[in-house]
Amino acid sequence: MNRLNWEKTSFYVVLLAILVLVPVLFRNLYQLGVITFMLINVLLAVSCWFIMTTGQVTLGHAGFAAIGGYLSAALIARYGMGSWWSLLIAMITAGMIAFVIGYITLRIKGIYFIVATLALGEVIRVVFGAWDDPFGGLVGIMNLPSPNAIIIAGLPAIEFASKVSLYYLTLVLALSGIVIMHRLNRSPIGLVFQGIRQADDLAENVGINIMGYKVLAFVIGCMFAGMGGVLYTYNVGSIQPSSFTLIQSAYYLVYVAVGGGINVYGPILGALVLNILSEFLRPVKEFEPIVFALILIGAVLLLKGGLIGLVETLWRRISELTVRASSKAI
Amino acid sequence: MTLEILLQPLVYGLQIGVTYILLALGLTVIFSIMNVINLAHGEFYMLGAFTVFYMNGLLKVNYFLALLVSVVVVAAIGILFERIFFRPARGRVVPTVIVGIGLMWLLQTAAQLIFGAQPRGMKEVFQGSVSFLNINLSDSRIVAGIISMILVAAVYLFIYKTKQGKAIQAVAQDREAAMSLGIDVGKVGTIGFGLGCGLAGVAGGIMAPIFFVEPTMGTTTLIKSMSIIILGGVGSIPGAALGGLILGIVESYGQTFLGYSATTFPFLIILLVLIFKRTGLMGRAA
Repeated sequence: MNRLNWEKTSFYVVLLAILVLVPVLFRNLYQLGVITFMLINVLLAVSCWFIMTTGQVTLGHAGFAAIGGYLSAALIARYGMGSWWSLLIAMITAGMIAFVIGYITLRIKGIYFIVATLALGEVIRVVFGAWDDPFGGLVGIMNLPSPNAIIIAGLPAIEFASKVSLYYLTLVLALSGIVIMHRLNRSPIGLVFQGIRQADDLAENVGINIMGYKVLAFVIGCMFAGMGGVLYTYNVGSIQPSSFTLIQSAYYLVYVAVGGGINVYGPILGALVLNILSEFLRPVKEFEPIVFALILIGAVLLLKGGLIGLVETLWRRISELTVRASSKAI
Repeated sequence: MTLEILLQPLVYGLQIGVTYILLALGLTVIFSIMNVINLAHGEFYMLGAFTVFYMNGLLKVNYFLALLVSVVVVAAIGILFERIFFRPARGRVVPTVIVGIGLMWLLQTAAQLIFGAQPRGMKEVFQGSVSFLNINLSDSRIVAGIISMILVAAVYLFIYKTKQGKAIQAVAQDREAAMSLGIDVGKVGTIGFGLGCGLAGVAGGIMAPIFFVEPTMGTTTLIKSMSIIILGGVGSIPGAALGGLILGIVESYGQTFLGYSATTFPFLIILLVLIFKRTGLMGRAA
């Protein structure tokens, strides 16, 4: 047990050190930008996975990222609100919309949730495209200012004008979102989610309010999708209706399907591997969606536990071997 | 003057509604077999539309022959996809849904590469129009409405009067009981999937001369078809007919009087049905 904890701690320390050192390791601003977007995609993949832990598939995840991004952009650009308040309001609004949609569609078992989230994702795109004030219609909102500096008395102000500072901002926010969802997943609430996914009739019979828990998972996941959308607009400096489409929602599903859904490392691994693959596919960019769609189908039909399932099986084999080797040595 | 403003959208809506019935029937038949929505349904519609666009618009093949080809081609693709992709996932909701969205993604982007992304208009097959009480209806729309009505009637006869149709109903009601009665469930799956996709394809072919043809047209089509079957009651065949007509008419009035925002109607219909009458207009209680 002790050995395991030590292993875990050192793993986290090394991981954190690498993440902090990324701007030093990748001095090329293009590469840094790619890594920043990878972090946003990881956050969105994890929040999509969080909803899926109750056994629901959401096809409107990009729509909630759009709600977050658009709302925060409009509040900043048109109403002069501060970045941090706008982030908070964007997340809460995404959560409230998720609550209403979830409350209406999750009461009834069946196809309704999938259908409603799919339609919602498209409606959001249409609505933002049609709404000129304050959302800028089809052009969207351009030339957003960089996020407000954080001023703590006695310390120099933390500005967010450079790419490097935006990377750290994205890192801190995305990481805290991922850690919160991971902790929730490991808490008793996460166990209830798992129970609902595996046998919702049984969970209902032992007195669990399955609708309430499904809505809760959906609301939390969508709040962090909203955060992902805000981080996107902070980094890009603009947002258009075409930024978040149904196809974008399909990307989050492929991250989870390839990575595996058993724990938080699945979607993280899936998002990282596929984003790196996407960089390699850049010369043949137009074929990327076809490759990804085939990967999505293949992963669902053939790769049951996802990549993380493979990694864990390998890890167990290796540790069995090392245990056997060390016991022999003694 | 006012009368024609009020009646013109009704006539358009009825014509489009009848074609929507074909789409919704296709989705319902596949749903009753798989118990999951086929998310690539709109893409089969798109493929049917492009088949007619190329056959009739560019190769100058007779329109009705082109329609026939679109049914056959799309049904064949559907049957192939059912065998390769949906059958291995059957019985499990989440994989079937994800396979569906994967196929939707695949077909949509493949179509963009092959056909080009820009919307394209096809030359009208039938010139001229009919005018009655100042209400206009182009010949293309009249033909589209008549073909759709004939096909809806044919599908009804197939499902209610033939042995294969009854087998589909049996599988829809209780898969295991159907198996124990000696119904070849695999064969029913093939026929049902072919029928469902063929209907989506022919609906696309019927609409092609009236609207633009583009690779992304499947998404809105899927959402419309889903809202129809939820409105009519999931799994209900008469419900699909009623829902199709209602959506066609409501949408037509919406486009006339509200413009662009009518695109949100299918979504609003879904929410309203779930709030006020979850079983839909003609669905059975779950």
